[in-house]
Amino acid sequence: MSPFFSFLKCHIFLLAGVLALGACTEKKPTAIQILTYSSLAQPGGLGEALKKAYETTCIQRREGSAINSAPNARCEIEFIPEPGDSSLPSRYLNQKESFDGILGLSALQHLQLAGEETKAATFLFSKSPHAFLANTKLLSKTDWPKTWSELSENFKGQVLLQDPRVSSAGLGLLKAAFVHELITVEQLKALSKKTLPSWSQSYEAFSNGEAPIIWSYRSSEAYHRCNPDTDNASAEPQFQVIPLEEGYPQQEEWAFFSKKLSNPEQNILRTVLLSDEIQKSIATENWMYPATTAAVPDCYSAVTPVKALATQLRKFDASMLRSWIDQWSL
Amino acid sequence: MVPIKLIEKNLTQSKWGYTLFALVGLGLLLPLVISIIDLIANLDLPALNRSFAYILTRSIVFGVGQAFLSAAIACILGAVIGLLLSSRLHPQSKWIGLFRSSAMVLFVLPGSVIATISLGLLENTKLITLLPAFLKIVFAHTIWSAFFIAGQISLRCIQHLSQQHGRNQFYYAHQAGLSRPKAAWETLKSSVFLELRKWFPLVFCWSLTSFSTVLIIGNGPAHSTPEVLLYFTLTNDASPARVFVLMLLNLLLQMWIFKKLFFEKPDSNTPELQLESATSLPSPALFPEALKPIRNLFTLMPVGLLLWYFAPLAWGLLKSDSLLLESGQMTAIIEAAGHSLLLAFSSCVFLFLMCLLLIRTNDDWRKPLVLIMGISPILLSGAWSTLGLFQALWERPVLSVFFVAFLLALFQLPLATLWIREEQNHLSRRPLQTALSLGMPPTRAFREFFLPALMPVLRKILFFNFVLCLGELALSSFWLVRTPLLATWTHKLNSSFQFEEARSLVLITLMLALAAYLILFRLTDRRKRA
Repeated sequence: MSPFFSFLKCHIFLLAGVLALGACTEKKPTAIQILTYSSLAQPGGLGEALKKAYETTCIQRREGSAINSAPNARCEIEFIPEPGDSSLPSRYLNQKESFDGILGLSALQHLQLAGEETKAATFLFSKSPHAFLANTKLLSKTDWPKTWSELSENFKGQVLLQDPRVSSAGLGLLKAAFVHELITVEQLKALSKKTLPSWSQSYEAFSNGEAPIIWSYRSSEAYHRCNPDTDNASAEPQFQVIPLEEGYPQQEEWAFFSKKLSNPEQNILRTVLLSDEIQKSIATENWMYPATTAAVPDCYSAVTPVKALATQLRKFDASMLRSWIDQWSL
Repeated sequence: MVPIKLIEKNLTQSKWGYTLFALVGLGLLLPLVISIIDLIANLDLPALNRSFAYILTRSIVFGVGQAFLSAAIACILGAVIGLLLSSRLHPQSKWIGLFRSSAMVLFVLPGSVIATISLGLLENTKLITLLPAFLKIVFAHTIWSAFFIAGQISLRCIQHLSQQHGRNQFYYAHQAGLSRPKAAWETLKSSVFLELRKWFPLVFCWSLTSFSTVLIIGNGPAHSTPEVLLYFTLTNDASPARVFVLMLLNLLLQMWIFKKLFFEKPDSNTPELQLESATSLPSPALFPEALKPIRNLFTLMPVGLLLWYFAPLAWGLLKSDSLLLESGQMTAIIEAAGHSLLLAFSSCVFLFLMCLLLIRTNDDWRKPLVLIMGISPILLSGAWSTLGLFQALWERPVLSVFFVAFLLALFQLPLATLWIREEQNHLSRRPLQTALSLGMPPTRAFREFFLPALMPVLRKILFFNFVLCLGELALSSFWLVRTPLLATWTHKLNSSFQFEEARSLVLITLMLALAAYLILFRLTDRRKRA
């Protein structure tokens, strides 16, 4: 046999071997599969803390004989990061069998999962009002708008926004326009200096001085207050919330657990996620406010207060959300 | 032994190689058909309203507009640079060699790498925030094709001018009172237009179907070609009617482009470049001597652009700011590079086997095969994901890497078989026929006379596939979300404006590509020489 065919044969068997090995050794995962957005699943982030806390609690309950013991619970969680936070519902709907739940759904994204709600348990685990943040180096406090109408009249083409079609932060803009009627879509579009696909991309641009104002969260100011500029720690942060009179829509992050999770597993997850330890780390790892009354770091106390507008989405459905997005797209 | 015998048998007589792959192609296509039927059954017609018509029209206008502008600019730039490079050079000149090989490096790079390099270059010039996404996309599509076209044009022009009648044409025009540049244009315009007629439709089609570049550089659905809009609709919108319309539109678009690229016979009036027939005389001076430095500058431009792109990285390293490595991400980089290598290597093995199975098929199998194989990755990914067919693979990340590798090989097959067929047409069959008439077994004759002659083109195909797999984004962004790859990571870094870190990953990708080049071409040749 020529060297060429020996080489070929070698590779065929090597490949067959690797494939067979892959097929044999790869077992169906026994860990709980949770779909989430990528920053939550990052090493060292909230996901990791949650994973550790869940495993500890689960093992204690599995081995314990108390009334809340869970002898058959799966004690491992695997977070599946979805690159875009707005595609969580679609990914879940397309691969329902692969996931046991979602972490980080916004209230509006619930509309896309309306048919699934009866088959799942949902609860709020973090929140923060949306807010416009100003770069004080580019826009002094005296020039800040006081109301939404003042903002829409005087700051055309000066604000960084997120695209609601691909970003859950952007969905907050639609809430402001259609649920709370604080502004019209046309006025929103006129505000935009640039509409970016993700919150992180737009915030990076904002930090680089691309625009004086950005659509973000109240908790974004908390981040800057808790991580002050090392050269001038006592000074006010450069990026601060603009407190508009009418207030801002509230961003909520929901956990969504399908019925594939056993009751004990759901209970443990709920207990851990709403525990003081995890709720506190939401404030420092995820830069959102806890959903419970858990204490937040002292640096949060100086964050500019804003009026948070509660969202009642019961009268809306997925087709309405699509029509809002369409109106944005026109 | 069984697979070898199977392959050998097929190589010599059977037609089932074609049948097998047609069946595999149909098998993969079946989910697309089922998916479309499924979508029809669940059509939510109210979603197909005026707003959707507007969004759809805008994406078509955006796609066609950027493709047309990219092709036009690439052709004009290519022609200008090509003409500039044609002055006082031999066809075998090292300047032209350097330019063509560096242009080729840019040409074969996958869209995701080109998009990242383009963003980096725009960042270096501080144009990144000034230019609208449309122009950034045009820029990315233009730089990777303009130099390649320039290389082709300059070679044809130099070849024309190095022949006696071409030189005479130029001198007569010049003596008749035309300035040197005008005489050069009069002499060479037919050669330039011949090349442009070939390259304009190709660049237009490539730009129109470019996925990674538009996804990385475009700002979401507002800046999308129909294919990227389908991607966003599949990932963010659950409307079956919209997905259905976009799938059909993209299907028709892909069919048209494949017909254009693969089935339409090349212009018979376009003579192929024949380097051998050229004389050793250099082309005459087409431009004043003062333009020589500009010519040399253009010759170094592709290499210069790459060096300029990597300059901030080199500067950072000099200042001991080791970028990604500093933040302790070395393990993650090695893991991602390992996955990318596994994907690229296994795809090459699949492609090699497929090529062997199809190499001797003499039927006119191209049309149905290409139609089956050439379906867009996004269409197939979408079909499989909307039907939830890849859940089993999703739960087994390593197997899903092999599956994606197989699909990538399959998508590459139409181009690969065309290259092989072209090579086969140039091969002399006499040694093979002589060996057969002397009683040599067909398998052995094929192995010893036919296959070695095809190895250069097979190596070229494998290298091209390897590099494309390293930067693949379409299938991997759907199916390999749980498996970090260099390309998906680079995309993530670009999305969050982390261009410095993206540069590091592009450098690693290019180093892997270079290693593949050395292994496939240099080391193999050395062994042969030894």
